[in-house]
Amino acid sequence: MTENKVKKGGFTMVEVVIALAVVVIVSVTAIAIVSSSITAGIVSENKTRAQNFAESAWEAFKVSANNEDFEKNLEFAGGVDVTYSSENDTYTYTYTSEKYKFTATITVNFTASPKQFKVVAVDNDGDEIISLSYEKN
Amino acid sequence: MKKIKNILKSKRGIALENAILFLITTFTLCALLTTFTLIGRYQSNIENTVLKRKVAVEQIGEDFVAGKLKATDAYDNYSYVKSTEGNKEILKVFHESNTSKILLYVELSVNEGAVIVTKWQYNPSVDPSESNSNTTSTAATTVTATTTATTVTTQTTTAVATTTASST
Repeated sequence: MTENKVKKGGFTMVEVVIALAVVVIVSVTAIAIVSSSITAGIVSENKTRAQNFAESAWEAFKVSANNEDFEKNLEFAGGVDVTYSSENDTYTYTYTSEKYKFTATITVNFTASPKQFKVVAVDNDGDEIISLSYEKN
Repeated sequence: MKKIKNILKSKRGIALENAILFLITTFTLCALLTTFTLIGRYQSNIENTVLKRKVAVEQIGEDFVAGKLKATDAYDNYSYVKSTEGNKEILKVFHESNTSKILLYVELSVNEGAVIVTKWQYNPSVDPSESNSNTTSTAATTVTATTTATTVTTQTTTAVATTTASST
């Protein structure tokens, strides 16, 4: 018959090491999942913002007869600079959103027939988020 | 709740089954978070595709109104059918892979050279050209209702004006 020994001294070193290893593995996995989820969520939000911007620019082009109308109808988020350059009657507007990490370039030509519109939005890595072209008569 | 308090207060640590329960809870929450993120990402991609499709389809409609429709294969992934009924010109735009579902229905009325867009409908559930008579009567009803409403407003204004005049 073996004699039953009652432990009074707490855990052994091996038990503590195993328990710590389990805690570390679980924590690291959970933190990695949460972190990547948050990053992916932010990227999705930025993409959606860029898409919304491209869509609102397109809608502004559709209801505008000339550059003045277009600038009036464009709705930019406050505090962000819009620069434009004119070359061969083609106006280029660049919109950079620091908060949502994208840059959108809008090219419009209201003197051409048909009137032309193009918007390209890229993220900070230069990857294209959306590109739209449209012509109206 | 009391049980959880007791577990946390215990100086002997927690039982293995409780530890497993906490692990499962943690990973369930992580899985939930990941699921929501993936849904958001998926939704964002869908929005992107929908917007591109909307622009492409609207371009075909715009070209139709301007009388500058290109050959049907010039529009990537989209095809169209153009027809004429009396003084009406009708355009139906389809996706190349599914020609039974109309993506855009445009109806133009041509009177002595003047072109009026009488209908511009996205994703109609039924072909509007097949239910044209119903639509016309609905439109007529709407016009009547509007006229009545305008008359009522005018009467109210007159009444107010009269009251004001009598009070002064």
